[in-house]
Amino acid sequence: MPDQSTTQTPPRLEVRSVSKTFAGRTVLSDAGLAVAPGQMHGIVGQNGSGKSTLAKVIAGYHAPDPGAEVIVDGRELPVPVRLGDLRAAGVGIVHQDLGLIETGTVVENVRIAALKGAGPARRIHWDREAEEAKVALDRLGFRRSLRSLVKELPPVDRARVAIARAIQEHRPGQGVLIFDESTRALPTDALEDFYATLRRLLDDGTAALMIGHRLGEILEHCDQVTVLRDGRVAAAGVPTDGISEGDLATRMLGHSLARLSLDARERVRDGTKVTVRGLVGEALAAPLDLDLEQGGIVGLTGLPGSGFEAVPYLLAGAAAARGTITIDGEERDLARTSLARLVAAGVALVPEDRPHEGLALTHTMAENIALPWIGDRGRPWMTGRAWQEREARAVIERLGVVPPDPGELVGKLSGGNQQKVLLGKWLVGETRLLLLDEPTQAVDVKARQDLLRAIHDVAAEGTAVILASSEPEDLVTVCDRVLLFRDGAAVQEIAAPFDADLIIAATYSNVTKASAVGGAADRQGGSS
Amino acid sequence: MSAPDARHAPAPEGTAGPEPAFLRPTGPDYRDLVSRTSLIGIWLLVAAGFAIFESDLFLQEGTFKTIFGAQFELVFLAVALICTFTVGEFDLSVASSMGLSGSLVPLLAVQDGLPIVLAVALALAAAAGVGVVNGILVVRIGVDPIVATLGMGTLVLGITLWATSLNVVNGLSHGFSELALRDVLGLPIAFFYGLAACLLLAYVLGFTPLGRRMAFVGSSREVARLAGINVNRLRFGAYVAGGLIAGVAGVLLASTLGGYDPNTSSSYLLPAFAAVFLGTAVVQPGRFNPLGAFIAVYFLQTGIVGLQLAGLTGWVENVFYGGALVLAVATTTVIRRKTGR
Repeated sequence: MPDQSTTQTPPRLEVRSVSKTFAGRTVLSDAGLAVAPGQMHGIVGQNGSGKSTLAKVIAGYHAPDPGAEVIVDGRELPVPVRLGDLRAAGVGIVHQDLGLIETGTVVENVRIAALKGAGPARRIHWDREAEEAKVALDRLGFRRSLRSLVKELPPVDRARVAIARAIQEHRPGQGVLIFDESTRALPTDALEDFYATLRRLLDDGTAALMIGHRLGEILEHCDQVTVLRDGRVAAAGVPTDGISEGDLATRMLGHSLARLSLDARERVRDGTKVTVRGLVGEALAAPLDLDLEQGGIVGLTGLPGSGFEAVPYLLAGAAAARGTITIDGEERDLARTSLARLVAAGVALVPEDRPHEGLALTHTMAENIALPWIGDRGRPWMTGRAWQEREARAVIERLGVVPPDPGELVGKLSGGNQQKVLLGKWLVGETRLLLLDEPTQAVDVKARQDLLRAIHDVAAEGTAVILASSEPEDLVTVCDRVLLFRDGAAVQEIAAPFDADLIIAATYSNVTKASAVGGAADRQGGSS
Repeated sequence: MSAPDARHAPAPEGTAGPEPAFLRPTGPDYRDLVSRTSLIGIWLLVAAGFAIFESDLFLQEGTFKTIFGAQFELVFLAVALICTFTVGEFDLSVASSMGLSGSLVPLLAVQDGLPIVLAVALALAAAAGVGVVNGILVVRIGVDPIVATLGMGTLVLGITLWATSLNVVNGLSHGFSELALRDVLGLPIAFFYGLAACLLLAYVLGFTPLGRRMAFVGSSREVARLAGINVNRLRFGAYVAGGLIAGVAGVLLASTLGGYDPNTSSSYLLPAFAAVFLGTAVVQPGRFNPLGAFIAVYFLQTGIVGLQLAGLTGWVENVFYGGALVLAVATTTVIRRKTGR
């Protein structure tokens, strides 16, 4: 539970015993934290660690499981939290992308939820609204015209508009501001200014909760940090003094994966290869060359937005790319090759966004698994049931899918089992190049081991594999070498033997320096 | 859609504990059977109600023929709508395409003296052409399908009215009416055409790779695209097929009536929608399915004929079709929310 020894006064914001279960799956378990007046408190954690869920429970977007408490300035709010109560208690929320209306003016954006009508016609008095907005904006050091359009503002002023909207109803020195990865929308050179502005508000006694993914930024600016891992609090309210990014990353990632020992793969060095030359695309600025041998697994990693996560989509033809890919000696220009042709050539993509890009949740397991192969294996007038059933059963057996029923709707499976079906779908035919983006995201330890073993086995059978992952343990378990990305370029190659700490250290070292030099990647990629 | 954009929405997933086992009950699933056939049960109840309270009028061979001998054009329109619904699209212009082809047949054959076969071919081509334009607007240019097809439907209706000078065009030969009205087992052959069209589409959707691909395009377009399916070709094809099938409905209607009244076109759209949505409650609950729509067409017709026999005319159709559509959509929404489909 949160450590409260440092303050006498009640914390500005305290949450206790927050759990959240989606359709039988617990994504947040007994989480809690406390933010003292004047404190900037960070929350970090991987994708799927529950940090966004926690933020959304506090923001009233998700209803938590019974038992949760949300306390502001010593007063407990009714749960599930209602927006009106939050506003009355002085809690302001700045969302991920700032939530601004680009074509609106500054006044409109600040006052959008607070506009008051007056007179019998309930007309809006814009002069009065502008005065109200100006009070909040002045506190933030906003110096531009209130009539300017938001799309014409520089990033730091856009952030000020979003914050002004969140703080306009508190009196100075009170309240809590919650930033849900909001700095992601800011370029690196605007960050200092942003934090200086925020710090001025906190000096009066307001508190801030920063949900973030750039560890360096959190460490540099926050007073305390809470780490979430697998839906639980892994470290509560740790003072940031004297912690390194490596320490924080280790706490964040954990060594949750009981080491899986896999047999050495025999790589077919003389066999046909997959080569990539001059790959460039959105989020990948520097041309990338890759040589993949059959049976080899190349890992790609880096911070969110560094470009590593874009590579599978560019190579699969799912995103606009330039460069060439050569499979079995046949060279293809990626700019002029359709996704369908690449699929036919044996390129398979396992995307990260499983419910939208990976699997059709309203179809059965067998239908999903058969989908890419239905043209080749079925006849134009008959899909044929026997082979679909057979292949689905093979996937179920190979990956240990529960329940072992090909007729089950995919949407009814747990996340780990869905991920198995998604991978299994591409193991049916002869896949030459398997592209994986976070294939073990948010699955339990057993499912993760099953998936990694299957990936290893596919490679051992002669498929070239690219694994884009922010899980160091996964990378060291199956990869032969790992390419580290920063600012849209592969900057370092780490070859086996390696361990997770080496990859963590390489990923998170010099991050602030690197991003200070090249904020370009943040503007280009900008998402994780 | 760029790759990184897709990354901001991690699905909430469990992380700990054993995988839950969704064991299915063994043996026949009676609840499933009940939900699949409930509409048929209601149909029988409605028919039984009319049979009891209006036995002298309802229990006549003529009534049976009135119910099953008409409305085949709605069956075809429903099939056309299901083509587009299945791939996740929407076509509000089918009734106008039907009107276009239904008017062109007598216009070309009677007024212009073209051979009837040629007139029919041109009428079908014109209706398919409406589908092509819809496809260009929606798939190529990316216009919202509701707006595009609503506009196209109105435009085509207007052109049809202009071409026919707002008049009923008739004078088709008696021989041509045999195309739709030939007596088979006491019913006009067009009834069986409609049944055949439904069975054909049901087969395509249920048993062929084409149908499977269409279903995936409709439910998860990105999943289909990443599996190597040419999503846009299927969407485009659905519009053209929808137009063509609506054209067939127009030709058959012209054959039945010996001509066509273009002013009536728009009155066919809502009944077809009502049947398609009501049909999602039967055979394959929760999915657009042609056999369900077929049953729904005649279910609605039974109710309307029964009420008309009871002396309620004029307004009954609107109340019945509109009410059925709203009720069907509301029921489907509730069922989907409950079962999480």
